[in-house]
Amino acid sequence: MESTIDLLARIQQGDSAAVSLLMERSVPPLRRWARGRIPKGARNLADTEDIVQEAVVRVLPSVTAIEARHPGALQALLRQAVADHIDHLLQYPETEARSSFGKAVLNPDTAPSPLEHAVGREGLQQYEAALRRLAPADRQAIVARIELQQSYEEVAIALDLPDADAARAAVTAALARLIEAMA
Amino acid sequence: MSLDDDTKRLSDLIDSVADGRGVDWDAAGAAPDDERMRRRLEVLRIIDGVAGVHRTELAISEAHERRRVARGASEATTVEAGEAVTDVANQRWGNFELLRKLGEGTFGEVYHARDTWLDHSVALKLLKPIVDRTRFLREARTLARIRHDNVVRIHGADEHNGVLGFWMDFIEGPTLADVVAHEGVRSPTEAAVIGQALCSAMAAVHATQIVHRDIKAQNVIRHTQTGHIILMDFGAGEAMDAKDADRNPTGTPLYLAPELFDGRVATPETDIYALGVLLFHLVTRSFPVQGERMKDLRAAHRRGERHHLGDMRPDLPDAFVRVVETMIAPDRAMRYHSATEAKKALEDVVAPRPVVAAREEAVVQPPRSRTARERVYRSIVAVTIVIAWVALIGAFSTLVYQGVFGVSSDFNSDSYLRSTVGYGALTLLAPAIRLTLYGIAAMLVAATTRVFCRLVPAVGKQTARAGGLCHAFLERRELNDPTLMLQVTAGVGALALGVLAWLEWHNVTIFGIDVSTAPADRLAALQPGNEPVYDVLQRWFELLIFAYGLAVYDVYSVVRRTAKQISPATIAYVIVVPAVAVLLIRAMPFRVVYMNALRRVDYAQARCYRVGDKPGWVRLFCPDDNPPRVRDHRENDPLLHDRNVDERVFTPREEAAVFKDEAPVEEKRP
Repeated sequence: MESTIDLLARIQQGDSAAVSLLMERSVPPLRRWARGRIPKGARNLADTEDIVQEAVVRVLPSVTAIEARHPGALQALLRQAVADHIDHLLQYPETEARSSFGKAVLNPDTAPSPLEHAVGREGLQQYEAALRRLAPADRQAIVARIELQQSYEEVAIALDLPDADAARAAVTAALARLIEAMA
Repeated sequence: MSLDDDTKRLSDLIDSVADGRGVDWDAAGAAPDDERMRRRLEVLRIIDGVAGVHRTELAISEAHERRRVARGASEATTVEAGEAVTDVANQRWGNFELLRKLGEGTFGEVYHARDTWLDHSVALKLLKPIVDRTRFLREARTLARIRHDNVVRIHGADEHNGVLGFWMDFIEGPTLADVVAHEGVRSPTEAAVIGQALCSAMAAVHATQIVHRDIKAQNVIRHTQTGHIILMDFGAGEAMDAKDADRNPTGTPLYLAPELFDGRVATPETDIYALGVLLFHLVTRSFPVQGERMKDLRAAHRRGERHHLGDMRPDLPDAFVRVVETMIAPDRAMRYHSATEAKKALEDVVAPRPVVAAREEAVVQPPRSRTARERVYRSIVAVTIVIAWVALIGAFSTLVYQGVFGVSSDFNSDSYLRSTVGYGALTLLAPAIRLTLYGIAAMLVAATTRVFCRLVPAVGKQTARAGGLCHAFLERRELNDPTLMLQVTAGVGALALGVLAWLEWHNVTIFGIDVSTAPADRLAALQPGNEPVYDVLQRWFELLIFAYGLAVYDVYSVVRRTAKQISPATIAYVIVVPAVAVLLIRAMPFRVVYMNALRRVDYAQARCYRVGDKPGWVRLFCPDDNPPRVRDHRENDPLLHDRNVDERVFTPREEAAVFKDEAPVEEKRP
């Protein structure tokens, strides 16, 4: 299978087929990831699909310009794009008032996302803020393992590490630094 | 609890969170005394909460996927623009009812669908939401231009609710990838038959000036009922003459020809390479060049790291192995240049022509006596050729010798066998020994270099890289055709030998003189002291022949790995160059320079040598005489005095043996 880095190189050369391949590969885990952040009432498949698709399409032009040294960097970029888009929708729900998303956000009963429900809005904000302060490599390790629930083998590929053991070491070290950043 | 214990507990909990085991926080123990440590555990709990939510989402997603596959959807829906079609039951696209998803390609998804108007099954390909419409339509138009039994047939294209699609024959059957996965490797005959069918399909595709670019086991279906082989998925197809031809390696990496990794455009030869990989896969379940990532494959191609079919399946017929190896030759020039040429080669594997059939039969069930007889016959032919060649060398050497010394055939006292084979063997003995030693030295150097490259990988990589660059250069300049390489090698060899002959021309021309009448200074060139001059000439000659042999062997090993035919004229040219050189540079001077120690006689106190004799007569060469120096005398001439010693003919007078009894022996007798 062609690596994500190779696909990026093809995209930078204007290969539209590579864009399609990259989307096929990146969107499903993002979709799962996004579902944890979307208000309960807006979590049907079509809504999640729309949000992820829209965020990815928005970030696509900059994908061709970035220099991703490993697939994890791209995944982090896409995840950030989706997160920003969700944040935007949460801040300005009236712009999406007619969609189920907008309705869900505007309705206090269905507003909290599963993540907020699990760790509280404050806890989630602490986590997000600390994650942003981490070095990119640590952030990508945590996103890959904790948020995207990738196996250590997948993490190794995403972060260009030699094997699963190295990936596990990288994840635990990143977690330790995240704890320090949050504590 | 001590701080150390708390630190260890935190470390264990981090491991649990990282491993996704989940933590029972209520049972995780008492809160630490240390405030900072307590805070750390709290934030770890938040992180575990985040991980838990995502873990749950993944589980829900997977469960949903499983349920969806198991039950299908309950309500009829319509495929609409922007929608990735995953639940297909009861979905419609125009007048087509989607029955099940057959597969997914780069550009679209393929469904088994029913044409509700005509009431028959079709394969319906629908464009993926993000994919370029132009490319999708190009695939449909490409298919529409091709009409062939082994190529899937398109029936129409349309757009409904913003979703573009086209429909084709629905072929019930497994892909070749399924066949290999479930039924195991195929026999060479079956693989060759499949290969022929695909060659036919490819020929039809290439005839429309299109390259498929994605020939692979997943894109070939075997019809369940008829066993018919059908090539499909033209999504990556491209016109051969496209001005903006895609230089990105498109297709499935394991099937990509090496030149595509270097940015070359796809050609019929790259399709043939992919077909070769497919045939390789059918009989091995493996691939000739392997790597998990694109860059691994690219590096493997550059280093020339590849599996050879013959090594993986030594039991396969040579003919089949040769055809596949030719298809997947790293150099494009060494592959078949058309699908028709490849098909013809595969036909010979499946149904050999009569002569080939007889040979194959002999290989499959060899009658022992016949094989043994054949071996004996071949050995006899080989020995005869060698003896004839040695005799020719000897005869030529003798002819030059006799010409120089004016020894006519009636004065030739040597037997015919000695004049030819005897002197021929003597001529070739020393060079043969030295060339063998050179060969052993070269093998030792090669082996040592190989060991060194393994011990010092950096050097090995650089060497491989240099080889790869050389390889790429040859390919870029289209100099890698074996016939051309052989011709160039022979041409360079001939040129080098010609230069050597030209530099030593004054020594070479000495063999054109008649010593009987030649000026004395010309004879001085043949003095024993001049022997080292010829020795140097001989060494250079041997080194050139050795280098030439290595170069020819190198190219020949390339030829052997492929099924390329080299024309008899080229083979003759390659052989004639060293043959002529051996005659002119080794055989011509050999007897005159190295075998000129003759019986010394004195005739009337003049120093002479016996160059030949016949019954009752001797022919003498008297170097100190004024011309003519060659004369005949009766054997019992009283002035003839045999000194009973052999001496080099061209020994200068002052260095020649001096005999005190200058009178003939007979005169001394009482």
